This record gives sequence, C-alpha cells and structure tokens, in this order.
Amino acid sequence: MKIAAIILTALLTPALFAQTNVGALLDQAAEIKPGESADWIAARDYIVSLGNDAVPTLRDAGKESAWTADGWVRAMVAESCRVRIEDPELAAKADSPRGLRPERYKLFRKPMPLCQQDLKNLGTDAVPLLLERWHWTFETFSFSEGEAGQAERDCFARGIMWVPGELVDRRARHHLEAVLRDAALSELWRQEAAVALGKAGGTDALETLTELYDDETQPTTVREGCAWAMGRIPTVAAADAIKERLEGDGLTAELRRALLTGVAILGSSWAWNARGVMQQETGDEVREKCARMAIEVLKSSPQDVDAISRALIMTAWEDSLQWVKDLAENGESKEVRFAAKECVEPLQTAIKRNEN
Amino acid sequence: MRRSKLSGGYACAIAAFMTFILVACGGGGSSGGGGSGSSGGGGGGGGSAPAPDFNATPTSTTIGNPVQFSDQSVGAPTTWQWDFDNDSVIDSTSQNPSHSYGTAGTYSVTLTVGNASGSNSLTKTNYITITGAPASGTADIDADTNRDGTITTADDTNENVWNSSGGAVFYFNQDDDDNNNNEDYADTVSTGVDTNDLAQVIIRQFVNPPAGGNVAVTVSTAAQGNIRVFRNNSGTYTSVYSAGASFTLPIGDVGAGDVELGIEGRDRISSSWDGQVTLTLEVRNSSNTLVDSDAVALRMAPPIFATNLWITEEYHIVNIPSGGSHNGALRSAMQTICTNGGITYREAYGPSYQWDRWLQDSSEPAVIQLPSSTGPRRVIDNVVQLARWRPVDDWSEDVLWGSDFDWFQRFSTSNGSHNYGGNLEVVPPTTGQPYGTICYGGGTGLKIGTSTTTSDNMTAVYRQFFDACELQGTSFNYTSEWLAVGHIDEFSMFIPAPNTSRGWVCLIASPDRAYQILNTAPSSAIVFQGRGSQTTVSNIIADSALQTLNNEVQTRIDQARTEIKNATGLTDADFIELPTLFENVGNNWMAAYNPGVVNLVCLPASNGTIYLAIPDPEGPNNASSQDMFQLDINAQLAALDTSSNPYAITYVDVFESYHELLGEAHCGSNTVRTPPNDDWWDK
Repeated sequence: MKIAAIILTALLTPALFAQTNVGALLDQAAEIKPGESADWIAARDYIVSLGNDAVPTLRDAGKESAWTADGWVRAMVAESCRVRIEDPELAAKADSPRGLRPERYKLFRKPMPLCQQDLKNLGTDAVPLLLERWHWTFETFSFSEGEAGQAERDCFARGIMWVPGELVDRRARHHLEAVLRDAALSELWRQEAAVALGKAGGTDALETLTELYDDETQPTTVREGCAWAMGRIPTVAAADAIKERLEGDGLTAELRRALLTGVAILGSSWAWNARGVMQQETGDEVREKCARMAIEVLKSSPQDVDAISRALIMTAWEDSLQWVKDLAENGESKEVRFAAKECVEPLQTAIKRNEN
Repeated sequence: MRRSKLSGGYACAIAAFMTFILVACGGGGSSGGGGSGSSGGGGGGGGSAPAPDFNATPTSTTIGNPVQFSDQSVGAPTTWQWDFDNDSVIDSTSQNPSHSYGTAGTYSVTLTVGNASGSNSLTKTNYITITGAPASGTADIDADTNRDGTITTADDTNENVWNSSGGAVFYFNQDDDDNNNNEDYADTVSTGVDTNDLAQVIIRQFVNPPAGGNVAVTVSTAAQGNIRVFRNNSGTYTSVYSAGASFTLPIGDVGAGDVELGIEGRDRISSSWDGQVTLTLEVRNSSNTLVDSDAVALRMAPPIFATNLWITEEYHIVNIPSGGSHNGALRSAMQTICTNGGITYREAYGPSYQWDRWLQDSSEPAVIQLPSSTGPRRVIDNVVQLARWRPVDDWSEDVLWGSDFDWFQRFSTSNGSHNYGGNLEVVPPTTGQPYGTICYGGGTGLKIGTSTTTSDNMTAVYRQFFDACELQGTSFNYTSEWLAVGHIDEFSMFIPAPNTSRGWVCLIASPDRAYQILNTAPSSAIVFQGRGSQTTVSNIIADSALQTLNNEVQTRIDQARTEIKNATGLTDADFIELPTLFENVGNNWMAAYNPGVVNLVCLPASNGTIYLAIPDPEGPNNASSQDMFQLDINAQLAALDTSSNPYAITYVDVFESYHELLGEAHCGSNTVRTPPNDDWWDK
C-alpha cells in the first residue's frame, strides 16, 4: 500500500469512517483522486462494512438524477457500494471477469480474451462497479504477464466503455464523454466510448459527438467513432448532422465511409421496427433521408460501393430500389452505373425481407 | 597411314579381298593362319615385328550383344589396333576389347599389332555375323492401370496416361502399420501388412538382355522425390528409389525374370505436384544405346473429404468431465444417439488436452480409396490436420493414427482461426461435382457496425491443396470474416433431405426468421431461462441496437447465400432458414446470440435414420410451454425427410459447455464416415 494510502486510511479509520454519516463518507470517497486504488479500496470497504443500514442512503445518493456532470462520481460511489452490499456475488463477478484470464479464454473456440459479453450479462447493476474500476483500480488490476496481459487490458478497457452503451445506461454518459475527450487514452478506447455515448447518451450526446467529429485535431479513429455514434441517435437531427457532414468540404475517404456507416445504422429498418409504431413517422422521415444520402454518395463516390450498398440494404427504403435502378441505367459515369448495378440485387432481397 | 577414330591420324588402307591372305606392306613378313596379313615397317635392332592373331566369341550374335575379342598374337606386341568393321578406322587399342554391333551384317575384323621392331596386320574377312532383331526382349513395365486390383495383360492398355480410362493408383503411405511412430513412407523397408499399401508395379522379364547393358527407371520430373519405390525380395520390400531422376536395376535380374516393385507416395499433393507420376523403363546396351522402353502412369489417391450425407461409423467428442462448462449433457445425448444408430462413440479425455474441446476444428475427416483385388475398393480412413496448433489437435496422432488410419500433418504454422476445421465444409454432390465441393469461409468486408474493412481467409497452402486434389474442387469461399471465430459452420450446414429432389439442403442461420418468431411470441416470455444472460422477448425486440446489428448480419448471410449459389448452382429453394440471432461479443466481432441451431451434428446411420443433434436454441415458449424456435425448426425439417429416412431430432444443451465459449455442438464433434460406394478414379 502506498504511503499516502496508509496515511489516508489511518486518518479515516476509525476517526472519520467510524461515523455513520454515510453522506459524508461518500463525499470523502468521491474526492479520492483517480488511480489512487489503495485509498479507494480502503474507503469503499469501510462503507460496504456498514452493511444494509447504509443501503437506503446509498440508494438515494445513487439515483439516476444524481449522475450529473459534477456529481456523477459521488453517485457512482454510492451505487458501487450499494451493489457490493446487496449483491456481493455480482460484485465478485464484475471484479473478476471470466473472459480475461488465459485459463478461461484458452477454452474459447477462438482463444482471445473476451470479457464483454460476460460483463454485459451482469446487467446494469454492474455498470457502477465497472466505472469504479475504471476510475480507481484499472491500472492495478491483475492482468497476465506480457502480450496476453496487454490483450486482456485492452479487452477490459473496451468492455468498460462498451457495456454501458449496450445496456443503454444513461448514467455513464459523463464517464463516456470524459474518456472520449481524453487525448491521452488509446484511440480505440475513445472510439468505443464514442459509440457507447451514441447509444446511451441520448439526444444530448449529438452535440458532443459532432464537436469531436468536427475537430480536425482529433485522430481519425476517434472521429470515425463519432460518425458511427451519430447513427445511434434515432432523430432527424442526427440524420441532418450526418448529411451536413457528408456534403461538407474536406471529407476524407475514411470519414465518408464512417459517415456512411452512421447512415446504415441510423437507417436500419429493423431498428426502427424495434422502436415501435409511435416512432414510425420519424422513422420514415429518417430512413428516407438516409436512403437519399446513400444515393448521393453513390453518385459522387461510387468507389465506396460496399459501404453505400450496406446503407441502402439496411435502410431498405422501398423507393430507393428504383433510384438505384435508374442510376444503373443512366448514371453519369460507368463507375456509377456499375456500382449501382451491384446494389440492385441485395437491395431487392432486403426490401423483400422487410415486406415479409 | 590409317585414319584413327582414336588418334585422328591416317594409316595406309589396304583392302583385303581374300580370306587368310597375309599381305606384306613392308619389312619382314610373317604369316598367320586364317587371315590376311601385312607387316608394317619395323624398327632396327635385329628384332622382328609381332605376328598378329586373334579370335572372338561369339562370332555370330545379335544386334547389341557384345562380342569379346582376344589377342592371340605372338612376338611380344606392345600395341594393338582393332578395326571391327574393316572400315579402316581404328575402333579400339585395347589388347582384348569387347564390341557390340548396332547393325546387322557380316563384318571383317582387322588387328594390327606392333612393337619396337615393326607391326603387322591380320584381317579375318567376314569373321563376325550379326543378325537383326534381338533374340527376345521388349521393355515392359506394368501396373494396375485398369484399377481392378491385379496386374494382368489387360493393364497394357491405356497405361501411359492417367485419366478416367486408365492409369494406376497409389497411396501416400502415411499410416503407421508397423507402429513405429513414423509415417510408413519414412521406412526404407516394407514388410507385412504395410506391403498392402504399396501399389504394385512389375517389370516384365527382358529375355536375352543386352550383355553389358543397363536397366533404368526414370521418374517424371514433378514427382521426383515425392515417391518411394521398393523392390520385392521374397516379401520384403527394400527401397530402391526415394529421390533423383531415376533408379537402376541389374540387367541380369531383369533378364532372369519379372521384377516386382512397390510404389508409395512420400509427400502430399500440392500446387507444384498433382500426385501424378510416370515411370519409364529404359533398357540400354553396353554402348548406352536405348534398346527399348515402356512407360506406365500412376496417380496418388487424393483424400476425399466427408460430407454430411455419408453414413456415420464413429462419433468423436472431447470429454469435459467437470467445471462450469462441463459437457455431460451433450455427451449423454450423443451416447444415446450413437447407441440407437449403431454408431461407435469415442471420447478424447479433455484434461489430457488442456480442456480443449473443439474437436471439429482440429482436423477434417476424409478417406483414401484405392483399387483392391479383394473387393470393390479399399478404404483408408484419414484426417487432414488443420493449422490450428492447439492441444486436442494431438488426439488424431495419439489415438486415431495407426494402421490404415492416416493423417496429414499441418501444412502451415499459420494458426489463424480461419484455418480451423469448422471453417471447412463440403457441399454435397452437384452436377459435375460427384464428390461435392469444398468450401470455406473468409473474404473481405466491413466489420459489422463499423467502416473498418477486415479480411481473412483460409491459408493459401490449404486452398491450393484442395484444388490440386481436383476431386472436390474448385473450392470456393463465402463471407465469414465478420464473425468472431470466423467459421462457416456458425451459420451454414449441409444436411441430407431425402424428400427433396436434390437429396440435401443447406441450413442457414436467419436473424430475420428469429425476429419473425419473436414478434409473435408472448412479450413476457423468457429467453435463456436460468442463464446468466436470461432476458425476455420484449427486451430483445426493444433492443434497437441488437436489431441494427442483426439487420447487418442478415445482409452478410444473404451475401454468403448468393456466393454459395453462384459457386454451386443452388437455388433459394435449397436453403432452409433457421432462427438465429447474433450479437457483438466484443470489438464488433459477431457470434450467435442464441445457441446456433445450424451448428448441429448430423449423423446418418446405417439403419436409415438421420440423427440430428441440434443445439437447444432456448427460445421463448408459447402459451403451451413449447419452445417456439424448436417448433419452427421441427416444422421446417418435417417437410424434408421420408419414412424410410426419417430425421431423429435431439435438442442438446450446449449453452454453457459450448455456446458461451463461442461454439456449439458441431464445433465440438468429429466423425468417421463411410464414403459412397463408388470409384473416384472413373470420374
């Protein structure tokens, strides 16, 4: 244990932590600097040792409305401690993901570390535990030695970003935004955070995503993630944001393809079915916009036919079949006509599936 | 001066018109009986030039046979000049030379002998008589080119070129009949049952072979070093060839009777060798002039990879006896199926192989078929080991490999998942492909939900091998690079369908069909009851991200279907869509969300029943507490079987033992199967 942690622990135990003012304990714990794992563990264990008596206060402190830009760390502490008291078995699983250690992933059909699904299966109660891990103890986690450990580290980090998105856990939005903005972190981790923010961040996330996308100083990997994430926000505004950027100047091939991926995700007819009949009108508007965007890119950049085709197929906008056929016949260049022809058959299949 | 073949000089030319007349050209002459003589200028010193004489045996023989000349001169000659055909060109300067005549006729022979005192010549006119044809011998090398298991005169037809009408078959001798833990092709002596693995070749007796000649067998260039040739000596076969352009046999042995050889392959078919070899027998005389030759063509039998239509002999599985992912449920189910179907059930003990359970991935079952004299054909079981490099790969070597069960060792050190056996299947027979077509997954495409292109495929050395074997080529790939594991058995499977015109169908995973079923299921119905990932129908349907992902997966499966159709001529009617959802298991790699039902074990049995062990999809129950995914599968399969070849469906629990580890039932299984009652070499 580091000296600072020893001193802090001595200060807090029992003189400070002996009190039953859970709120004050949360305040203290939330102030522990990121990465100070020993201090955090000492504080956390003390709160958890208070047991069920502390749960009502923790639950209140950890309610969703408390996960604000300024207060989310305190809320995270509260929820983390509550889950550790109420469901120690789940906490143990979150603390030791089964897909990380070689003795586990050697059993996989493809022997690579994959903890994401196991973490996701733990459900939303595990999210505060994962965020706690990221905030204080990720760097001291017992990864394997050497190359295996690097792969495990990357897997775990990406899992911590990915799970809140998959579970659409809005509480994690500030954590995700912080990761997305942290230029010192791995580009892939930031990309994962961007996508998760698109899934979990709600309509508010569009502003952050477009800001980071438009920032030319950001790595392409991160900007790509922002483009994909825009497609995760099921609004007309997101469609317009993508359209504006597809039509903008200085669009690189990588970013154009990333925006097309956003179009495919946003236009997905199946996703709009999942959103229900109440969303149908918005869905139709968005899907038509997506189909038109894909057609416009087909005219200007037929070399991206695979990404264009995917956007058209997933959107499966009925009218788009005729648009594509027209381009196959009358496109301005042979490249456009050829690319359009490639799209016709799979688009027919997709529309037929959609009708069924 | 006489023009000498040896020296290039000239000698005086004196024609001899009379037998046994000695002509003195100068110096003191001497006569010799039976020849015409001449004396050359002698040296001084009071000595005398030698008196030439000689004889020969035989004096009457055939083309190519040697005639031995013996000097009988007197007077201490120190030089000898022979002119065997009286053309005034010196043919030899040896004292007792041998000479073979290449043309029929009667020849006069002149010997000139000399010493320091001078020289004399003797010509024996019309002394040697050579007749035209050899007394016998034609070169004849025979193999079982009509593929009936024996070598007869009938094999002389169509023996020089390998095609569907002729040419013999031999074996890549990589089983281990003598149990010495080496492939038999490494052995330089073959005895006992291993001799059955040698393709017999007979060099027929060459009557009256040219004395001093030689017998060689040349090996066609591409096959050099890839075969071994043994010679049979009373049942013991000893290696006479393993590398180089040719091998030789004692000419006397060939003259004394038939010489029996045995041929085996010692390397596999590859892109640089199609397994064919031509053996050319060449008989040459003492002058190394070709007297006669004959050739025979052979082809190494390629492995024939099993399809799910073949009758099952054995079922193999890894025993994972304990732990949270033990596979007791699947093993128990498969034991029952095997008992009912008369199929041999075999287990590899998991703890001995570091709990590696993915037996399907380690190797691909095949057979080698060879002509046989005791039955329709001989079948040697075989597995081709894939480039996987994980523990249970060794089971093939440890247990299966042995007498008449051979294995191809890994071709590559590349251990990418796309090289695993689960990514290698065989499309059953189609028009023009009587043994089906090998297929594997891979390609280039966008990772699901990203704009990142990913590319993967089975290593080229395997793909080239399949195509070089020809029988089940040209192989083809279809998209699977978007999957976490990347295997085509995760979303496609070819099974018998006796009630269809084609006789089989392709089962293909369908997220679309899964959603159709879910949309009719009670929204509160539980899916994955009791599992860590337990959820409800409403949760699944409301998950727009999951639907987006599956929408894209469906487009990729549709693409795969198109690729299969384009390669094989299948139509949409040949595909049966079974409900399967996919999920992102990390880093945008896909795997089955519910246990992948197409990843089933298909075991047609000799009793006519087609046993299907299908991963339990653990779908939602309807109001009658029936699994709606299972009902859909049962209903679709019910239209495909017949009363004489019915399906026997067992839903097997693989959720924690395989599914959560990114595989299903098929991934953990392997088989030995009986090939069709047919001869591949006639195709």
